[in-house]
Amino acid sequence: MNFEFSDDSKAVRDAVQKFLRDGCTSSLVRASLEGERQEASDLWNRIAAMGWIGVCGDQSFGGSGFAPEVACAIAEQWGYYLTPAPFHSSTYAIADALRLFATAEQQADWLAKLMAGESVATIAFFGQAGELDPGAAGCEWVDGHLCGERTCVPLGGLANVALVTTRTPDGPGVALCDLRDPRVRAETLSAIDPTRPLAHLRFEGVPAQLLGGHSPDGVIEHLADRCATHIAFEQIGGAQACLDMACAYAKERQAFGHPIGAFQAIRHKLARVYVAIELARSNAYHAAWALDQRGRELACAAPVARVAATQAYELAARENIHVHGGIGVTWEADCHLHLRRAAGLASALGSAGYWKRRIVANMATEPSEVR
Amino acid sequence: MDFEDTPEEATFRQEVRHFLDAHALPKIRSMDSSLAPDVQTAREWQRKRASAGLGAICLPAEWGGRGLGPVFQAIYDQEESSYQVPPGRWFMVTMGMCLPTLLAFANQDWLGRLLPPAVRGDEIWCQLFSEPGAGSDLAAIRTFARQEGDQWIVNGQKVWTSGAHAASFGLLLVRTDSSVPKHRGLTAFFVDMHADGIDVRPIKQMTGRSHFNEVFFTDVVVPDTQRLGEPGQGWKVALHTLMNERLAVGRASEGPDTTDLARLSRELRSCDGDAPMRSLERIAELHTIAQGLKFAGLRFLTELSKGRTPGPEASIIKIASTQLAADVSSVASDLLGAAAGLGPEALTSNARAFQRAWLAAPGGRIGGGTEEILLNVLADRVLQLPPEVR
Repeated sequence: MNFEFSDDSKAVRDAVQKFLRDGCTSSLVRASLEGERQEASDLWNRIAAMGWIGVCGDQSFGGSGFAPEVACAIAEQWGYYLTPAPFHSSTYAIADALRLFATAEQQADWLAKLMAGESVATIAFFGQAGELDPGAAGCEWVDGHLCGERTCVPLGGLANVALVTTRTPDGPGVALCDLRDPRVRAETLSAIDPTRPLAHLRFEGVPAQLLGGHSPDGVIEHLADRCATHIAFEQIGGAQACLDMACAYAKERQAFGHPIGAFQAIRHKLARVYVAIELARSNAYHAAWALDQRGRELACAAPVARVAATQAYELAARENIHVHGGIGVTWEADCHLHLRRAAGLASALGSAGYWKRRIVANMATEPSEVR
Repeated sequence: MDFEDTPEEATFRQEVRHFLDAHALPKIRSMDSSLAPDVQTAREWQRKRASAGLGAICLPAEWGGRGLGPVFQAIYDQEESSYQVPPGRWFMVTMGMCLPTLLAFANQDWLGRLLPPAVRGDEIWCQLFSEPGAGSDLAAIRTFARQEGDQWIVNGQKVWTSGAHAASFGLLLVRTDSSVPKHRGLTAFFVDMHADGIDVRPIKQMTGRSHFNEVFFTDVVVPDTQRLGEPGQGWKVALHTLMNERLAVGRASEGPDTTDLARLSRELRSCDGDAPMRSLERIAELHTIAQGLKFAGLRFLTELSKGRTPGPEASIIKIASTQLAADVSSVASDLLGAAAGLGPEALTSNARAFQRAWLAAPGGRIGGGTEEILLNVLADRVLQLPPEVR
């Protein structure tokens, strides 16, 4: 039984942690919050130079060829340190999608640039309803051209290529779209977490290829599941940061003659946060394992990981504010950065209902027990 | 990251599966538990296990065990949880708590007399720790043993003693010195449950069953050779006994689980379609906790497999699983609608299992480590928060 991160994962994770501890400070995150992108952009370039974008990519495209779980271990650190755009953990899901579904020519066009951090890619999932829609309403791809709209697209304005869910003559699929084409109109949207900017994209007959040249069944769901898995690790990282922050504060802050962490209400509150995080972490590990499996494992594991991690991050972020008392509610304290990020990641893949319905549907047909 | 056994673990797992296939029926639904929950059936099952060398896997081979590490016990527990076997509670205390304590602290001359019959299922052990005035605050116990030459005279009362009515022996924690701080004045013994002066009275639980008892001690004579560890070392012995609970990571919870709940929901679907969305979402949420528990258990199993002992982090299992059991039974009641108000005789066997769980759930959060105490343990030992204001 080896249900923990491999030595490779741990080694890369530790290197990333060290890098971010020094390089992704609270003030850098706050600068990004206030709309200043330069420092974050420099950070991205340094991250790419370290090979951490392409960590799981094919070596023929400049990646390092590590197992998918390594990206998960890294994603947790990004979440812990609130790494701002243009970094987002979905970049790993996008690289995976290209590796799994794209034609050789599409891979040649995009993968090397993606791994090197020269191209910033995003995924456009949402129509007007703002829900993950396997039917991909709101966009039409016909004869090599894409028409329609997508909203709440992460990295709006910063990304230069997008995977866009779209209807096609053969059913729902995913189109590869160069966002620098003038037939793409991007409008930046105000976002609750400005470190993760959002945009509305309008496609006016922009030339686009289908990923892989066709529409394989379930490609949208699979893409969403891969995103959900990496995001779950970001969420767990963020939740852990909240718990650590709250514990540190509880040891320092004095009231009624004691550090507040000596009062049972605070101790039990934080212990419950710990339980929620560890259960979410365990589910995320399962999804990380499932990234590499060929069957229905990821389709079963990802929704569970998503729901657990989303709830854990929101709980941790709120309880962190609560333990900080009045200070926790101020702009100056870092607590709200996590509450914003929690909201951003909670909404990044539509509402919880979609994921919970899939969990219940999977329970009717659960694959045989993992031993 | 993988779920692979080491070659040694894989071989053992195969052996266990062969044994179980030969001697038991697989569960059809996860909530199918025992064929019959009585002690005789439980003894027979233990005897079968012992004959196959699977009765007490971590005990040394000379005493009927296999001398293997805790991960092998966990593998056995994992495999057995897919089969219809008697409830584990009859021998859990014996195997999981008492025998390891005897090995560590008893006069070695006793081991030949005590261990083999226990492993064979001929003798059941109980744990005599809690008292009416001392549960979570175990160190506050008052049952007293005064020394008279080479024996001790015990007077007092224990409570919540699981299986005492069927037990041959008990692990007893008593106060032997009232002049020192409470933790330091305790001593541990083992006692013959049929000795003069021991009176076992069953306690009826709200479920209608009587799994545990009060045990009264009136001038019970306990030979000094039955002492476990030194006088005044009782607290250390007790901690050793209770610590073994952490190693029980392979064991499945009894009672209906979220898969059973989802099945109930599908069976009760109204004519025009689905269970209310509210219920389905709740089932999904509970399932994420159930899955989280399963995979947390596998993370702790990984620790065991690598020769490490899971630390206080393992408390999360008990905290979350007992709350989950309560929530599962609660959602089931809601799904049953008015029928949830019926008594067991008027319910289907499916619904009865959920109702039993409804009545059993409160006990789960209290016994074997009360929830608030476990949260304290996490706060102290994992989060390292300042010591509690008392």
